[in-house]
Amino acid sequence: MIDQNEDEGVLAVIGSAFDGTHLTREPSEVIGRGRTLRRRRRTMPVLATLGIAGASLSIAMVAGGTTPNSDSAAFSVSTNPRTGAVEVKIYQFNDAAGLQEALADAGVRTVVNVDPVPTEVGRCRWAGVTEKLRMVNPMPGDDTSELFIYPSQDPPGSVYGINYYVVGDGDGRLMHLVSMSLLSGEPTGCFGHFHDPSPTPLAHASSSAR
Amino acid sequence: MRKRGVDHEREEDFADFYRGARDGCLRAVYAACGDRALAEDLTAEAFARAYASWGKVSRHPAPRAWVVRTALNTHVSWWRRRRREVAWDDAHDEALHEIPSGPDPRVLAALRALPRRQREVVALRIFLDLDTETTARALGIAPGTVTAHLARATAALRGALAPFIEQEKV
Repeated sequence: MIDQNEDEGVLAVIGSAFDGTHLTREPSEVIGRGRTLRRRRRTMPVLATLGIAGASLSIAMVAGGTTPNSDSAAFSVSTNPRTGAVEVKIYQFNDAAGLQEALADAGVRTVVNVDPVPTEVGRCRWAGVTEKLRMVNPMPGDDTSELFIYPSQDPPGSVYGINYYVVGDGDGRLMHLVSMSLLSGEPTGCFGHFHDPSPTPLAHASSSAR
Repeated sequence: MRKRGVDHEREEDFADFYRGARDGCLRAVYAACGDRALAEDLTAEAFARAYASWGKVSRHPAPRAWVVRTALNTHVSWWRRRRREVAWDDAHDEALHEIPSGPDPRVLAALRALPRRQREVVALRIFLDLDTETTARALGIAPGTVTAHLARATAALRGALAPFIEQEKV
C-alpha cells in the first residue's frame, strides 16, 4: 500500500531543492517584450486584409518602405529608412560573419559567441557588461525569431550580443538556439557555464557599426 | 511622470502578478524542461505573452498555469520544428554532476528520468500547487490521466530518491 505521507515527502524534497531558483528579470523587461508582441499581433490582421501577409520581406517593404540590407537563407536584415528600425530575422546559424557584416552595415554593433558543444546549462552569460535579453529564437519560423532594433534609441556604446548554443532536453534530443541581447558595452568574454566564474574568450570577433 | 498612451493600471496589475508568480513558474518550467537558462528564457517569454494578452489571461481561472503551459508549449513546438534527434550522450549526465550550485543534481536526474508528461504533472503539482482538475485543464488531459501520471511519477521519484531521503533523515 502506498503511504500518502511518504509521497508528500518525496514531492516536498523536490520542491525544496528548487528553493534557491529565482527569476530575477524586472517586470519592465517582460512588459517591454509583451508590448512588442501585442503591437505585432495588432499589425498582422491589417496586413492580412490587404493580402500581403506572406514573405517577411514583402511585409516589411509594404509596411514602411523597408530596404533589405541582406536577405539569405540563413538570415535577413532590413532597414526602415523612415523609422530607422532594423529588422533582424534568423533562420539558420551558419553564417555568423555574414550576419555581423549585414548588421554593421545597418549601424548595429555586434559581438558573436558560438558554442556548438551541447550543454546542460544553456547559453553563456556575457562578461563585464550588463545584459538585457531581447530575443531567443529557435530557428526557423517561430514568431519570436524576429527582432526590431532602433540603433538611435539604444544607449551610447551599446553592443548586441549574439549567442548560438545547443542544449539537450534530457530525452536525447538537442535544440539549437540563438539569443540576442542588448549589452552595455563590449564584453570581455562569455561565461561558458552558468556558475562558472571565469569567462571564456569569444569564438568570433566583435564588429563595429559602419 | 506618466507616459500618454500607456495603460498604467494594466501594467501595475500585471507587474503584481508577475512578482508573485515568477519564481513558482520558473521552478515549474525548470523542473519540466531540465535546463536552467532555457527555463528562464521560456518563462520570461511566456510572461511577455501573458502581458500581450493580459485582458484574457487575467480572467483565466489559473493564470500561473497558463504561463507554465505557454512556456512548455513553446518548448515543445520548438522541438517539433527542429526535428533533430540524436542519441543522448553519457557526457551530459557527467556534466550534471559538475554543476556547483542550484538544485541537487540527484533531484534533477530523477526528474529527467521521468517521461515528459509525468514531469509536467509533477511540476504543476509541486510548484503551482494545482489540484487535479486544474492540472488536467492546464495540460489538456483527463483528470484520471493526471492522477495516473502523478502516481507513477511519485513512485519513480520515491525509488530514485530513497537513498537520498534516508540520508537526509539521518
